[in-house]
Amino acid sequence: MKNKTQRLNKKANKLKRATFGISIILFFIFLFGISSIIYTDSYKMTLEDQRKSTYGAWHVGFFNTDEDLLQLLKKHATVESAGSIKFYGYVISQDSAKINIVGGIGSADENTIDIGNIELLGGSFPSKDNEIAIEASYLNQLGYSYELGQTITLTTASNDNLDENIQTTSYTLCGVIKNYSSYWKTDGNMLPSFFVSQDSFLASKNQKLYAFAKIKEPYVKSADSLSVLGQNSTSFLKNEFTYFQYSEKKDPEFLLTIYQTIIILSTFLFLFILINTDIRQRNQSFVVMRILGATKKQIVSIYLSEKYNYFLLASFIGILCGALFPFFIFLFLEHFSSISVQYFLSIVHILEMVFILYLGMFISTMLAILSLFQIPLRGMPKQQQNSFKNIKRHPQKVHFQNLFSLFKRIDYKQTCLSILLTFLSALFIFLLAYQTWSVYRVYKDFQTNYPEDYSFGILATNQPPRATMSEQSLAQVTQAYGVKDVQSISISDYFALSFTSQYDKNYANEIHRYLAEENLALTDTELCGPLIGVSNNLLSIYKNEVDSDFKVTELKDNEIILYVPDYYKQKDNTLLVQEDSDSTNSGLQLISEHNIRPGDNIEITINQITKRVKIAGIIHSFDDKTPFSYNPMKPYSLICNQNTYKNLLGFEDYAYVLVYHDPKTIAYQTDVELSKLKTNLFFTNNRIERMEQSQNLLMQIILTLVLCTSVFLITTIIRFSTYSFIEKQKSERYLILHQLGMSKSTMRKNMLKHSFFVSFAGCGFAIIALIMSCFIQEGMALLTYSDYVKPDFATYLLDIYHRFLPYTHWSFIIILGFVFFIINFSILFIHDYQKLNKL
Amino acid sequence: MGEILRVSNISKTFGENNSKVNALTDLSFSITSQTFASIIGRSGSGKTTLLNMIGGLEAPTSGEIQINNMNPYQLNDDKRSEFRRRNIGYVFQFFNLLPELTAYDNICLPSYLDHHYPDKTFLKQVTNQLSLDSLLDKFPGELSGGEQQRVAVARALSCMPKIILADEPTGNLDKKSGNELMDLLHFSCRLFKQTILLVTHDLEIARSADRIITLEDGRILSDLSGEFYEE
Repeated sequence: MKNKTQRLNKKANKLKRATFGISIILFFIFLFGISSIIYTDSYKMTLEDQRKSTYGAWHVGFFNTDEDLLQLLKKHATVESAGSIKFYGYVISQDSAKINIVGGIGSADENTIDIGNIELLGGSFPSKDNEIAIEASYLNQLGYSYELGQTITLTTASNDNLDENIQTTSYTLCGVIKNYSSYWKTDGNMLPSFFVSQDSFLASKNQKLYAFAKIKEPYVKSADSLSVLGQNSTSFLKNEFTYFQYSEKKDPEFLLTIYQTIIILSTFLFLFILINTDIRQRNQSFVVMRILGATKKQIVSIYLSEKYNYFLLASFIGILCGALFPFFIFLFLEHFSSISVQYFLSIVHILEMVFILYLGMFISTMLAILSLFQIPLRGMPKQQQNSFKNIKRHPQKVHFQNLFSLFKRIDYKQTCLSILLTFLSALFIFLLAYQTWSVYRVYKDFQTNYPEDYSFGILATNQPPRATMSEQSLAQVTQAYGVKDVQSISISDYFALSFTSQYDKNYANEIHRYLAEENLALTDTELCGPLIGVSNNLLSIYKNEVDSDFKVTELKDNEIILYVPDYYKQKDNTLLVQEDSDSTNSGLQLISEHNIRPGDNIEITINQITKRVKIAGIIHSFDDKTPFSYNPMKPYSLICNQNTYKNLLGFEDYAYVLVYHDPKTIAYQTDVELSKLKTNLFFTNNRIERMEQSQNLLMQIILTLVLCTSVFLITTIIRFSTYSFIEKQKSERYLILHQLGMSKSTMRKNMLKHSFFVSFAGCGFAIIALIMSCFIQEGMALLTYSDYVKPDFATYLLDIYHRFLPYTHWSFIIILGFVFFIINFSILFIHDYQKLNKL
Repeated sequence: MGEILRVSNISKTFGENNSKVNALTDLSFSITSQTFASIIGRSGSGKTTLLNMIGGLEAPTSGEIQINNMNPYQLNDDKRSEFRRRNIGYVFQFFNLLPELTAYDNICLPSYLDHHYPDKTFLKQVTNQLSLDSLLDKFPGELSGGEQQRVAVARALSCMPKIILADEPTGNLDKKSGNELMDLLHFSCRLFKQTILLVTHDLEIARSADRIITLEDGRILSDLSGEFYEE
């Protein structure tokens, strides 16, 4: 009697263990589902909040508009809030006879301050006539401290010519504003940096009105419909700096949703399998119940009532932990790193996810318990009669060699399941890891190609510069706050060239034809090229690029480095430099110049005066590691030091200036000072771009690590739970074989093969799927290029293929696949190995 | 007839410290060839542990076992497996047939594991004696308990082992099938000149053996000829 009770207890414990196992998996499904939603939302919200803080929370802006439009906006059904900034004129500085613009002066209403997130570092916005609030960097620029109440005297002009209504006024500093004006998207419209009360400039006739609106959530996507409100002179723009849906920048949300869907669907598939297996395991008990008179419905209800208490408890704890887990992760991150992610819990999203999860759980359970309705009424279940009624007779004669292949055939369902599990987890991890790697590559490429913090102008183009920077402007750049180093490049027009020795005429003809097709203002002569004057602190880059046979140690005056790139002539007759051309596309004609030798002389005709320079070295191609921004692009470029440039041309100006920030100084102030300089050259702030990229990258890495670890844990738990049910039969088989005299080493070899096969197949399929997704992504990316017209399908596929081959990170895919394979293989084998040792 | 099995001072201990259990203590006996011996005892007396140790499945904590003058525990795992499949046949209470294989393949399995096919004439003789001829093409799931146990016996005999170890072979059979099985084992012991070591707790079955070893708490309580044994 005692033994019987013990057996019953044991059986009950076994049942509890099975239920507990499934409940644990459910717990993890809910934990993952809820936490991934919170991760995604928090990640998205943190980035958006950062952008809102920097670029303003407004959706649309109207520049140079009027009060009528502002009123229309305020009353518009789709607009949540609308405000305006009034631009009265400019704060100017006068030195000798020249008037310089310091910044804009104006006022902002409360709505704009609110939706623009214009923050005060101290004090308040002006409310009286003589009060003024100034952006922090402008206070520094004008030499004032942040002390509130001090008197600040400004000279202002109220029109664009800076010659009307010039007046000098003294104000009391009432507030210091956090910099905003250089960050907002304005398309060239200047924003005020000096804020006065509206009454101060009521009389100003030339005032401009800028209106900004924040759109109600459901209408955000249809922001374009508001553009019709503006008049012809009004410029309408959408804040694509803050809201990525207005730009081509990808929001990570879409990809994350796909990953979540994959993992949730696959986990429900396994939940179904687990319940189904559990039912099969207990088939005998259910048959006995049927024999004893239980109806099918009773058995189903017994099974459900036994399970659902645990399931509901597991799901509830899963939801709770899923909501709390990200909170602690963010807390941990904030404590141990500089990353601050705002915990955001969207009730709607959580409810949606909970609904999906419960629906999935319900469907999986219901599908699994369908088999309970097929329990036979008659006959005692025989020993070992479980599921072997449908075993197909093996066609081959059994012997030792094919014994395991016979077992493999019988176990194919379990093997497929194991491969599927490996495939799904690998695919999820591969996709996420590859996505993160791509983000990292973009960041790294940007770091490599644009090492400078700021740049003025552009070098890497065939075109000669349309504008240049004067020496005075360069001096202003050099002296600006926080500037550590400045590199400058002077670029001239194309001048006629002639070589005193042999040169390749075919190359010269091709270059001339190619440049003429680009509508460049060339000389009549066949040979022409620009002078590139490089500052001494940049010269080493070009010296290092010189062909290795003729190393240039120093570049004397009247010596130049000749840049004659190797080109591939494309099918449309355009020339593409060798390093950019698709090397796999063989059959393309190589256009190169290898007749000219260092030591040869070149005659250059400038203003009908011919001057002679000596070739010190030749560059045929640039190293991949050299920043792209240093590549002069223009064929027959004569790269020289700035002395030679000045001697040859008689003057010196700068078409490309690279600026490096001193990390010990306040970066945002340098941003503002440099952005306000009137240099005629296009200003690019790489520092902010780089900072944003590094923050995004860091967050993406953390998110990937958290999600991949969660997925790995879930799949490992599912795998072992599944094995504990399904592979019980296998264990029994191994035990019998061992008792009959099969050595453990033979079994171990077989397990090794099996683990290898499962891991290899799972990883292999996942890699194929990853490569296919890369191919599709390349195809989609190709269509986003404005100059790409979609050709017929076959050509389109070929175009994708040509992009896909060089742009796919093959080495990363191989390493990723290999690492995952090893981990998966080890887990499978160790699990089997332990089982074997217990025999 | 020579000695086929010698058990010398074997002990088996499970667990450590407080949870230490002595399953067998200083056990010694020997069995001569072609003997039908049975081991009896209450649950937990160490019968199955002894059988597993004789079968080369579980090494004794101390002492020595010699089968056919060879100690299987001095061999490595591979060699021990080979020794087991060539010298020992097993019959289990729950038959332990592979459900994926037909009765015929289950019978031949030890030969397959030894990389050869069984002697067809001998196999024919065995299956004929065990009335299995019409069942050879069936899967275990299609056979009754008695039929499955007959297949298990045929499997144990198929390799012509020197010694057959039977662990409660009738435990899962009705009385009639149990008696039939015992007759078969006796018959095969005589016919194929094999030694049979049978573990049971059924006195009636044990009594039919040439020799009865009684175990209690891991020690030999008695070692008698079957005809002298009294409850």
